[in-house]
Amino acid sequence: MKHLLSKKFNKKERLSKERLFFLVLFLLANLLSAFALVNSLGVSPADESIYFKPNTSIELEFNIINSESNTFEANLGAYGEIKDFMFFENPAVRVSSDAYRIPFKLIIKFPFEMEPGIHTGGIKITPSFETGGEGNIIAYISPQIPIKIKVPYPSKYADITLVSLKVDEGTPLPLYVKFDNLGSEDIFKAGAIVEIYDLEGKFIINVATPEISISKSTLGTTRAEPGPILKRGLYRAVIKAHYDEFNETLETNFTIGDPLVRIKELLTKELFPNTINRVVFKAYSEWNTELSVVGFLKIKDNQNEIPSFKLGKGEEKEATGFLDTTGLLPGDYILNITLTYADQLKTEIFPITISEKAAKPETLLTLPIIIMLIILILIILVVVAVLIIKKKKKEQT
Amino acid sequence: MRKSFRIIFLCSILTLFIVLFVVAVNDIQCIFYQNTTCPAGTARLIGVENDTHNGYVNSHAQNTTIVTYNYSICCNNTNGSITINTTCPGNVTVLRLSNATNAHVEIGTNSNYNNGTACLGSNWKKVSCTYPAGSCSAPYNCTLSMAGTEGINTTNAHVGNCSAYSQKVCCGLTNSAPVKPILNYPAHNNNTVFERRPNFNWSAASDPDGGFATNYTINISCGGGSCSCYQPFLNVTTTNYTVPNPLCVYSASNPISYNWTVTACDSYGDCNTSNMSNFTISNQGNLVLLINYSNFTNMRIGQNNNTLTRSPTQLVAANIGNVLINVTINASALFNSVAMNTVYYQFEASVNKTGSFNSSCSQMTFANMSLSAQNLFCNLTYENNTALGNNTGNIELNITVPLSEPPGPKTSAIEVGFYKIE
Repeated sequence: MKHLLSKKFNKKERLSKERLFFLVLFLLANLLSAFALVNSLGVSPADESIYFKPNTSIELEFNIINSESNTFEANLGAYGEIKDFMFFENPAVRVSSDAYRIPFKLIIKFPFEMEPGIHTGGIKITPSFETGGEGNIIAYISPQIPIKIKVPYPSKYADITLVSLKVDEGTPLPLYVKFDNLGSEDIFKAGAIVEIYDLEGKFIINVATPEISISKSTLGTTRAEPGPILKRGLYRAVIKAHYDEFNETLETNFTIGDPLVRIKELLTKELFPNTINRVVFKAYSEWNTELSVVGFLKIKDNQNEIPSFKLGKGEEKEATGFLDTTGLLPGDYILNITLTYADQLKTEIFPITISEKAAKPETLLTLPIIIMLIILILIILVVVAVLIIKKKKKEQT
Repeated sequence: MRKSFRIIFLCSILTLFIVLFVVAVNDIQCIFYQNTTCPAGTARLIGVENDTHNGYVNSHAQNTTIVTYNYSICCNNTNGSITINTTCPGNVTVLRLSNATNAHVEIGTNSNYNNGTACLGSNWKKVSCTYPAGSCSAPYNCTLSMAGTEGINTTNAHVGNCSAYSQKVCCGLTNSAPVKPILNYPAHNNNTVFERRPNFNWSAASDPDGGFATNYTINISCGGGSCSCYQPFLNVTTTNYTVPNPLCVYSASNPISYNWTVTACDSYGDCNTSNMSNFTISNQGNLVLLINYSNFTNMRIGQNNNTLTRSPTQLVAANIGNVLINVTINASALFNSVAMNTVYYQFEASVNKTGSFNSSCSQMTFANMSLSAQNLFCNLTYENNTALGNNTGNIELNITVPLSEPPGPKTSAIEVGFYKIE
């Protein structure tokens, strides 16, 4: 085989070799029924968090969800920094087609001590199956169940996060501050002031949460009031939290609504048949950061892409696309303008006419201007000639 | 001592006055008025007149559209902001008339007469009438009395004022709250609710006054864990509601459960609240490969092919669980002559439905396939908002046959992993 790679190998010989080595790459799986495939696999619960208890064991029950009624054997494995503490009652689980939920148990044996903080790892479920011989490329599902062990910090410590719900603009935004008491003591008073800024740093509003108490190894949530009413966009929140004698400040971003680009107006009102037409429309961003927009124009089966353009915060811009109308007869049509941006897709429709007239050549449009220019030049020449004659007459006199 | 009695007596009188005033303040009152029409602010129920045209006891009746009788029964309310009307139909039928004028009457619940009705309604609560052979009891007030000539007073009767006859016609402003709604879904103690945004639905609450409740308030509250994803109160007019934000899933460390009730109200603001139901939402990660193979058929040495043109087809994955997930990919070796993690065997994520996953943190360009797991889709949603499903993503493959690869069938198993991230 090595000689095949040789640079000295001439092209003719190489082609011949290629024919010789004609590969039969059966990258297929049309023999689906021959394989024990696991093309769907679920787990419940999909994750778990537990608090550390020195020198104890904890038993957790999970379920394999066999939503496609397959029959297979699932191998259970542990991964991550906590894998040495994880043990399975049975490391292999037989899943039969008539069972939807198949339970299995995980036993976590906590050591005498662990470093304070959150330690991560999890369970990996790998189905074992026959590939059905050679010549196949097949995919299967292998779920993971992340597991966190929370080890309390000495004294008082809370992990603080901001949770914002999804609301439309104009609706009071439910903002929650979540305190995860990861300390070894109860927290008697915890609360926060949430300052909201736009992305340019302009202060918008302050909201505050009532104070709550949080027992050790529990979560506490408190809602900021009043719910701020904000326009669609991306915002920055500065959370000035306190719990008992501790203060903590953190920052995070959140959004109101989804990015939105509106097509305000279709400026092109008429298209011509069997040619590439320029289509101009006004696009307006209702988002407060820059958006990269692409898309396509479509009439019936005729579809062409719109070149990428950018829209700044609240910017309105004329955007241009081109549409090939080959095969479309003159008449009234619906033009679909589809824009995609920031994982959003928006289609708007506009009535448009494909005219019977052929596209006018641009030269025809500029003819009056050319005539005007010629007349202007003639006038200038006449004026200059008159001035020269006058000047000569003056010199003669 | 005397002074104390005096104070107690005065207080009692005052209390009685307040009670009577409050009870009376919204009562219907009807008077016999000597005129063919009624004074401003009152509504004419019927016209009445005796045979000698000079009184209203033992009188005949005429409906309110005819104004020839010398006496009218005029009704209003002691609360000036409440308007009483006598339009038919649409309001309670107080009396039925044998004719448009010179009529005998029968009580509104009879159905012998079909030539005219006398009705009462209000812009506040519903008017209802009773017909006791004695006296009216609260909250009904006497409107008129009536007497028949053949021993039956409830039909074929003449009309008199309230002190004339024992058969009374008593009307009042009354209203009953709708019955308690029955909560259907999520059912009480259902601990395996799958949908994060369940379509709460309940029975229409019938109103004893007729029809059904006009609006409902759904109250979803959260307990058992730390809640940051629920809507406290929502007013709806339908008998179902889908919450706009996903509710939290249950876990052993954060055992969130939801309680919910629905309060049914009528247009007068009288309400009745359902029994409370409790449910929890299961925490389920589940991924399906809608297309789990790709057929590259025969390839020559050095030839490149990929799934971007859909021939061969791409793999398609869908999040059919109820939590946000990240998806990873790794595979067993495809070729013998080259190692993995090279350009000969590559993958990328591509959009199947817009908004399915976060493209800014997903692998959107071809990357070398490795034996160990690599990031594929980031934040693959479980929300299935469109008919075609936007919880899906494409897995594209790009294969180049190495120049040194021996001929023969090639095999690779792609492992698509996933884990919950929210």
